[in-house]
Amino acid sequence: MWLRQRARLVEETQRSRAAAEAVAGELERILESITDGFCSLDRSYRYKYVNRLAEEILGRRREELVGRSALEGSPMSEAGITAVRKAMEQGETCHAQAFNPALQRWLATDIYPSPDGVVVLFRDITDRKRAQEELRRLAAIVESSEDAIISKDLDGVITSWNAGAQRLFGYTAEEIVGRPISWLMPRDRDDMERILDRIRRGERVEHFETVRLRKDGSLVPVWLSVSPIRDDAGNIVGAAKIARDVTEQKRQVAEGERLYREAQEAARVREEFLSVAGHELRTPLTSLQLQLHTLRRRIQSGQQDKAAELLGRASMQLQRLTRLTEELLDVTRITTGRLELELEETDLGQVVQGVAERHKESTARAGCELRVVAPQGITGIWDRSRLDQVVTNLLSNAVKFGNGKPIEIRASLDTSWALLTVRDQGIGISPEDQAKIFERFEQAASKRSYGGLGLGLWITRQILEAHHGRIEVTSEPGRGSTFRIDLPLRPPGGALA
Amino acid sequence: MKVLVVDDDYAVLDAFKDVLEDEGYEVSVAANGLEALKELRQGARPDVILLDLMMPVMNGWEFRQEQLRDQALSAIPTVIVTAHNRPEESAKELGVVSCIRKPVKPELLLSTVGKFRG
Repeated sequence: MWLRQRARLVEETQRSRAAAEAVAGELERILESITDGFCSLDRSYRYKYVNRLAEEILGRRREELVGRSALEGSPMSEAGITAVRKAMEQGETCHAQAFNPALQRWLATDIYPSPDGVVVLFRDITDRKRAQEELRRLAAIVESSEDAIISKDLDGVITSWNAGAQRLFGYTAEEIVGRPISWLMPRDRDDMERILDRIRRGERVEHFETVRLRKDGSLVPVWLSVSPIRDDAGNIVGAAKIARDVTEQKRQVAEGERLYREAQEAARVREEFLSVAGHELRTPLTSLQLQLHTLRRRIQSGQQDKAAELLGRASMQLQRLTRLTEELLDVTRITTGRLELELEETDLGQVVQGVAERHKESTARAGCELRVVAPQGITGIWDRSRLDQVVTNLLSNAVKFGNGKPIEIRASLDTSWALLTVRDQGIGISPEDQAKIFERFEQAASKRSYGGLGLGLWITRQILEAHHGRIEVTSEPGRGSTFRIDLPLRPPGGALA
Repeated sequence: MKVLVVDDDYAVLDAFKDVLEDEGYEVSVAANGLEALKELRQGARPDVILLDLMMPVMNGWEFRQEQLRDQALSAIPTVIVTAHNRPEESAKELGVVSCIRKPVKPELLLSTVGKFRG
């Protein structure tokens, strides 16, 4: 009886052992085939079981590990060890995610308490970590970019928006993500559909220059580069757009063009001036050359009596040439800031009388009657010869453009200012020319008709400004011009120079 | 032989006058085109006109137009005297017989005027 029972017992035991072995074998196959590294540790932290993937991740064979402590000389990281200790001591499930310096890999580890220790499941997440890092790095680049970087789907709905885009267009990401890209489109532009068409065909659009609309309604010139975004299967799902504000570039280009035009204009004016200057110098040279010829002939033929008068006239032409040369030198002095004043007590009335006296002949020949109202005693601290030059310039202009009509010079005193007006009744100056006549090389009257370097009024203004004075003109074409000078009696601050 | 000199610069007029008169020419002067035209219309008939171009009131170009329009005056030989860089161009444009460039060489002035003698 008991033999049969025993035999059954043995049979059952054998069966259950076989079943248990089958289960153990099944478990081992499972552990060997799972996609995580797996090991179990006993209460003394000794490796009991290490699966194939764990061998691979840890870079050790299971024979090297089983029976040895995981705490010493183990490939486990500090963070891993801490988590294992915690799970073991507190009987809690623990998780760790850490870089293992020995393995140079990122591991994610889950530790579960078991009746006789812990089991550890871990996997290599290095690739995922690196991808995340890369993504963060790219996001940081996008975020810190000066350019606007925007993505949109193929329907033109905005899907991302960086800080550069906010700076450029004024919208925050919250305001505009999910909104149509047409929000950035000026009403009269229709280049968006063309760009989207090219994107749908998989083409890139580079350095496309256009205009976009800001949140505040203003327009901004931009350069666009747009590239298609593809999903993992290679399908085009959207577009990445980089927009750069080219306002400054545009301004610089415009500025460059303006400078170029100005330089060209300056060169043209200079050229014209040189031609005028050449013309002006040739006139007194002509007189001088002919006078010297006559002089020589008369001396040769013994007509010395007529020579003296000729010499006087020749020396006047020399003075004229000297004045022209001085004017030319004045231009250089003024433009290089070397116009120096020799300030001294000067009587404006005396200066005016002197100039009028010197111009008696030329005014008479021009048929202009000259009226001078210039009382003596209008004294100030001025450069006498420069003041003489100012009055001379104004008077010779009045004679030149005075059409043979009367000219009036009037000097007066107004508390701390001296006033001088020179009035003619000649051809006058049109309003648009009145603005130009004090510029360099400008002469309102046709150069075909009137001589002169076109420098007189410019020099006059510079001299007066050096004295802290000013000059202005009122004029009506055909009715004459009045030039008015306001000159402080002494330089501001009381300094003499 | 008579010469009419038209120039707005009195010193130039005087200098021309001296040189030409010393050579026996009879010289009259005018300060601009209008004065010259007035003189001619009052009957003056010079053998040659020396004409400056840049003058106020009536310049040399305008004078020349008036002269050519007037049959009594159009045949008077006219020489332009100018400080222009390319006087030949102006001469062609104005249909004048000759041109002299300022500054004027006395010898050239005398030889040019001499061509119209008698």
